[in-house]
Amino acid sequence: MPRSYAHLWFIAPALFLMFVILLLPIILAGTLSFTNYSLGNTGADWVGFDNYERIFTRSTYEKMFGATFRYVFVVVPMTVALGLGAALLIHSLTRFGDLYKTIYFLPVMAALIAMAIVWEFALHPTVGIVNATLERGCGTFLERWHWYAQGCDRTFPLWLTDRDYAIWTVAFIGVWQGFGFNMVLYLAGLTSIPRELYHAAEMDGAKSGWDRFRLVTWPMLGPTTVFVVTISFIRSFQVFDTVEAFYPQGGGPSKSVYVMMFAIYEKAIQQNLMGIGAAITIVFLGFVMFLTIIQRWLVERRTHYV
Amino acid sequence: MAKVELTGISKAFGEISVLKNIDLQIEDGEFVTLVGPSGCGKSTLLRILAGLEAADKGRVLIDGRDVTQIRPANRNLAMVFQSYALYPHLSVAENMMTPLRLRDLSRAQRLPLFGPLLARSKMVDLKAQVLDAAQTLKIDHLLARKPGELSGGQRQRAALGRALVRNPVAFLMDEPLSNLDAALRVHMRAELAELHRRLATTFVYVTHDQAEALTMSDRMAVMMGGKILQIGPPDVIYNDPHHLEVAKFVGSPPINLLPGEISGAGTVTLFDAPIGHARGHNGAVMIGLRPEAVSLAAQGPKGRVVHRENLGSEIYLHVVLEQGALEQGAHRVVLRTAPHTSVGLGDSVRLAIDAARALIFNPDGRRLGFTERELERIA
Repeated sequence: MPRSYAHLWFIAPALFLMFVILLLPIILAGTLSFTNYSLGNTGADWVGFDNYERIFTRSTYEKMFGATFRYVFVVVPMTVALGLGAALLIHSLTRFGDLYKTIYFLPVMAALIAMAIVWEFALHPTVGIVNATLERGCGTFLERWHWYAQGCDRTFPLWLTDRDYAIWTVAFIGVWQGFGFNMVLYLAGLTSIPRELYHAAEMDGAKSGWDRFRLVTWPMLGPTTVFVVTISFIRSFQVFDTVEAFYPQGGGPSKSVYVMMFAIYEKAIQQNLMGIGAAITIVFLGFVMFLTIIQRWLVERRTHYV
Repeated sequence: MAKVELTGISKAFGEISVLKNIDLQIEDGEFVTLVGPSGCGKSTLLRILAGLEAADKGRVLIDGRDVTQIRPANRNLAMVFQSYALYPHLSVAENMMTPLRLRDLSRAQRLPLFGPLLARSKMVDLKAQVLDAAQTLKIDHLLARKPGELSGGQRQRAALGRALVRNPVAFLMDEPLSNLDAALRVHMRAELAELHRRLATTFVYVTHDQAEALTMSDRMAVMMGGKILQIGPPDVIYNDPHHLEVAKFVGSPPINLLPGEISGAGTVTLFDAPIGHARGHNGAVMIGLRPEAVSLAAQGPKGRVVHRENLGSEIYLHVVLEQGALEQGAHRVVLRTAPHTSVGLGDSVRLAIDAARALIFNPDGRRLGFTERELERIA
C-alpha cells in the first residue's frame, strides 16, 4: 500500500493558522526583545540581554512588578471568593435567583471604559458620592475608628490619586467588575453536582452547612475552582483598560498603578521602544505560561476523580 | 434494630398525587421490599421514610418515636443509593469513615491536621470499624482506591460498606442492584439476603424487579399508582394475589390471562368448560393461570406451539389456542414443561388446566375466591 499523506492536508490549515497567529508573533517578540528596534527604523542593533537586565534592575520595573502583583493578589482571591459566595447564595434561592444573577453579571457586560468614568465621578474627592457618604458618618460612633476620625478631621482619601490608595482602589474596581464572571462559572459548577451526594451526606450525618460544603460542595467544585483561578489570574494580569482610563499620563501617582500591560503599551506604543516592550511581553507570557502549567498539573493530579 | 411505622402518608408533586394515604408497618429485623413499576411512588415512600422528602400528610414512626419532623441525619438510618453516591474525591476507606467521623467525632476532632492528634485513640477505633465492615463485604483490598477506580460491583459494595459501618436502626436501599449486570445482580441478591440474616437489622428495599423482591424479602409490598395493593410474604403474593395488577406484575414469565365467565349459579367456565364455582360476581371474568398451572395433556383446549424458550432446567412453551381465535383474537398461553420435552415448534398440543390454581378476577381487577367445596369436587 502506498503511503498516504492525506493526513497532512487535514492538519495543515490548523498548523498554518497556529503558526501564523500564535507562534510567529511569539518568536518575533522574542527576537525583538534582544534588540533596540523602534517602529520606522530600517534596522536595529542586537543588544543581548540588556532589555531583560533593565526589567529586573530599574526601579520603574520594580514598581511595575509591585503594582501588578498587588493587583493580582488582591483581585484573584477576592473575585474567586466573592464569585463562590454569590454563586452559593444564589444557588440556595428558590426565587429571584435570575434577578441577582443579572445584577452581579452586569459589571462584566458593561464597557469598562464607561464604568471607569462613572467610578471616577463616584470617587471624586469633593463631588464624589463615596466621600460625600463617608462625611455623613462623621460625628457618629464610626469616629471611634482612628482612620475614620482622621478622615473627618482633614479629608477622606483621594482614592484615585493618593499613591497609598490608588492601586487598592483600582483593584477594588477590578473585583467589582470581575466576580460576576466567576459567579457564573461557579453556578454552572454547582448545578452539575449530583443531588444524591447531598442526600448521602445528610444520611451520613452532615448536619451543618459547613459540613456539607466541606464534604461535597468544595471537592466537587474542584475542577471549576482550578479553571476559575487560572482564568482570574490571566484576566488580572491583563488588566489595562481601567489603568489607561484613570491614568492616561502613565501609571498613576508615583507609578503605583503601573501594571505590566500598561507598561507594554507605554513602552512599545507611546514611546516606540519596541525592544523593551517585547521583553516585558515575554516576561508577561512567562507568568501566564507558568500559571497555565500549574493549572494543568493541578487538574491532572487532584481534581479529576474518574 | 427498630420497628418502622408509616401511617397515612400522602404526597403530591404539584398536581400529581404520588402517594395516597399509605400505611405500612415494618417489624424489627424484617426485610421488606417495596416493589412496583417505575413511577408508582416506591422511591418517594422510601425517601419519606429516610426524611429526604417531606410527606404532605401522615407520620413516620421509628421504634414508636414520631420522627416526621426530625431531619434525616438524626433518624439514624443508613441508605444505599441507586447511583451509590460515593464521594468521588475520597478513597473507599475515607468514604466509609465519613459517617463515623461525622457522628462520633466532635467538630474540633474533625479538623484537618489537629483532629487526628486530638482523637488518636478514637481514630484507631473508627479505623478498626471500617476494616471490620470492609472484611464483611470482602472489600478490604480496595480500601485505598477511589470510587473512580472501582468496577460497578465494587462501588456497590463500597456504598453498602458506608451504610453498614455504623449501626443504624434500619437500612434503606433504593434499587441498589439496578446498575449491575445480570449475573452480579443474582449473586448480590443472595449476598444481601445473607447480610440481612447476619445483621438481623430492619431492611427496607426498593426495587422494580419482582425477582429481587421474591428472592430476598420476608415480606413484599406491591405498589401501584401510589397505593400498596398487597403486602405479604413472597409466596403469598405469588400464589394468592388479591388483585389482577399484582398477579400481572409478579411472576416471570407473566401470568396467563384468559376470558372466562361466571353463570348465574356461580359456575366458572373457561372456553365453555366448567372449571369451578365462585361467588360474588356474575358475567365476564378474567382467569389467571401461572405457567406451572397449565400442562400438556391428551385432552383439553387445543393449540399450536409458536415459541419455545429453553432455560435449561425447564422449558416454556408459548401456545396459541384455537378457541376464541375467531371471535376475540388468538389467546396465547405460556406453560412450563420439564426439559427434554419432545414437543417442537408448530406442533399441535392439548392443554390441561389445574383448576385449583386458577385465579379468578372480576372486571375491576379484584380477586374472587373459588368455593372450597367445589375445589374438592373437581379434584
